[in-house]
Amino acid sequence: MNPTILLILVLFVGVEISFTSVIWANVIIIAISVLVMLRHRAPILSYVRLLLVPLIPAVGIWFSIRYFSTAQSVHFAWVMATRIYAYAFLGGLFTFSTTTEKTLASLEQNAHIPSTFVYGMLGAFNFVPKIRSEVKIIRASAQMRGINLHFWSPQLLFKAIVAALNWSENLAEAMTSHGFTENAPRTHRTVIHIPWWNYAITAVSVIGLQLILFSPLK
Amino acid sequence: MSKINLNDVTFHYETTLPPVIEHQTLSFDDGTFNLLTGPSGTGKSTLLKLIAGLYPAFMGEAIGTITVNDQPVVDLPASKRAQLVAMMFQNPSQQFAMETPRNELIFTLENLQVPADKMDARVSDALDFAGVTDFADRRFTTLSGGEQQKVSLAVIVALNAEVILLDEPFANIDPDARLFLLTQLTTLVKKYHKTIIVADHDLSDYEPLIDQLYIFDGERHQVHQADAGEAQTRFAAFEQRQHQPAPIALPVAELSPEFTLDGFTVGHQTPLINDASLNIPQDKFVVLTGANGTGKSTLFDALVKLQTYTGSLQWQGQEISKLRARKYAQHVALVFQQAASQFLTITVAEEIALSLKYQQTAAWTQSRIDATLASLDLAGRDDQVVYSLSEGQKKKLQVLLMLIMDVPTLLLDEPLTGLDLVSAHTVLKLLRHAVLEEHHTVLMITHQLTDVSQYADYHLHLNHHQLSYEASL
Repeated sequence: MNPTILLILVLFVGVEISFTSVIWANVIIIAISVLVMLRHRAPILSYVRLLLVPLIPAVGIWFSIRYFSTAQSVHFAWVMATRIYAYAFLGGLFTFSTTTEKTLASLEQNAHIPSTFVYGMLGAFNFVPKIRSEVKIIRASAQMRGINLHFWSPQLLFKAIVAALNWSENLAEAMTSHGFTENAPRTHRTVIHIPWWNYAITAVSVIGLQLILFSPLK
Repeated sequence: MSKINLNDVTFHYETTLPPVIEHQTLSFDDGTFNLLTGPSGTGKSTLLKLIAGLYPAFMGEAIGTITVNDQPVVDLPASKRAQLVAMMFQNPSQQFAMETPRNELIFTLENLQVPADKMDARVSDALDFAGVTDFADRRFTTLSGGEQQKVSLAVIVALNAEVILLDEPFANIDPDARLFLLTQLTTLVKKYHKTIIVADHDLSDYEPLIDQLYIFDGERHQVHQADAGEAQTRFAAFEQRQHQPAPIALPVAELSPEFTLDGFTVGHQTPLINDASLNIPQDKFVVLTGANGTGKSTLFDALVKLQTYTGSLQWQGQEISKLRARKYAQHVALVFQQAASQFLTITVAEEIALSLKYQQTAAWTQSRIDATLASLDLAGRDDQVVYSLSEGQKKKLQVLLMLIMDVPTLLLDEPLTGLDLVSAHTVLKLLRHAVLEEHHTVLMITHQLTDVSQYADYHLHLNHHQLSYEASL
């Protein structure tokens, strides 16, 4: 699916389940997310992670609502716990359906987000490995001076920021010298279209969600 | 016919600082290959960035006008300017915004609003010309410095700019890549009538290629065009300054080793050092040489646990990859090639105080430090911000900071860069003293070989992915 349409759909579903309390809706969202992730051959570890990371908040909120809230509602405890998992799996669904590059390209062309923002983000993502190796160098350098820097040490942060400022300056100069002007018109080698079935899936999903949320069956 | 004109240009980084370029009037002819030389740190980069329109847009303040094809460069939008003036930067890894060479080329052509159907042909032509088709889809992080500079050339070809500026483009790349790039640049001048300006302090191989030599005079903050006679003198002087090797001893087998390499291989995608086996002796001063980009710094990174390797690399009989970084750093320390990596505080005095606080022995007292600061011509700079020191001053301070730490084994990556001969002698003397009197082990990478043989014990050379001891230095 087109990343922009998918992003809007995921956000819409996320916001709507925040205002309603239907356990079945959350469960179905989790199931659909798992199906989509299976289709995109997500590694086993990612399911494990998606199950483990929200475990503490989910269990925590279940107990607090079940035993320590004024209503002590079992139903609401399950709503909150499954909602946390629904958010996590919606994130998984989006992550495995697209890539950073595709999403940003689609946001530029379909959502008309300013190109400065899009290419700034891309540049930042490409910086991540460099920042990692720079932090390694700073820590090694400090150890050679007899100091052990932890990731929360202000000195490490200061040095990393100095390095990042320097890189961002160089990157900006490089992009300019490769012809990039902030928010000037550009052509696109690959024009990203939104196929009709994207709208169809979106419509079916939204209508389906309303039926589950507001049907008398709940 | 002149392509580029500077008319009474003055440039300051800060209005409070002295100008880098002062009342400069200069022109470069159409379709010529120009070399701009001068000591490092004088302002060669600044001049190129002014012509490329990056300054004063990004930094500093300029007066006067710079025109290319009679159009003031500052008035052009970036996409137009990029098609007129293209630039290759000194640091190969910091000139790309995308992940792969192909995507960078597409990004560039999109910026120029090239129609989608014309893009692929231009991309593949550019990749071909620069000889980078084979790794067009590899990530930049897996490419060597030489490969990255070739990609930079591909971008310049795709831009089809009339003026090409290169800022010390060969500082981090191997000799084969340098030769290839020089040949392709010559083709661009001869066949495609491009105008090229290369800033470089290393004059080797340029004499038969260039049309004009320009010299940056750091004292006067001005560039002038050398006439035929002056150019010839410059090239001759450079040739003469080329180092004459002196004999040096070869290590004998009985020496106890500090480092032992056995089937040691290190590199990124392709190995830089392949299956090396030898000893680096203890309590000796060993100099490591080799062409740019061959893997000297990568070896150092492996020696201080900043780089993974295969095979065996041992420090005093223990495998380095298995040692705990924190403990090991008390025994083996590095003077980084990038001075900024060494500094942890802000001013000279703070840096020295930090080393004094954590020094391992009391060998360096305040009075000894003061005397050494004076001999290194660094006295009276206590409150100066370390990052604002000149390149040479940074190097001298780095060496001193690590000597104060009194770590038994010191690795130094190009500590003599940007140093005048007197300072170089002082630094070498300090290192020699550390080896002879304090029984330290010193391993030093250097390109600047003048008189080094007077101080060093052995010469280790890296060539064709192999390390070997040489009988001359």
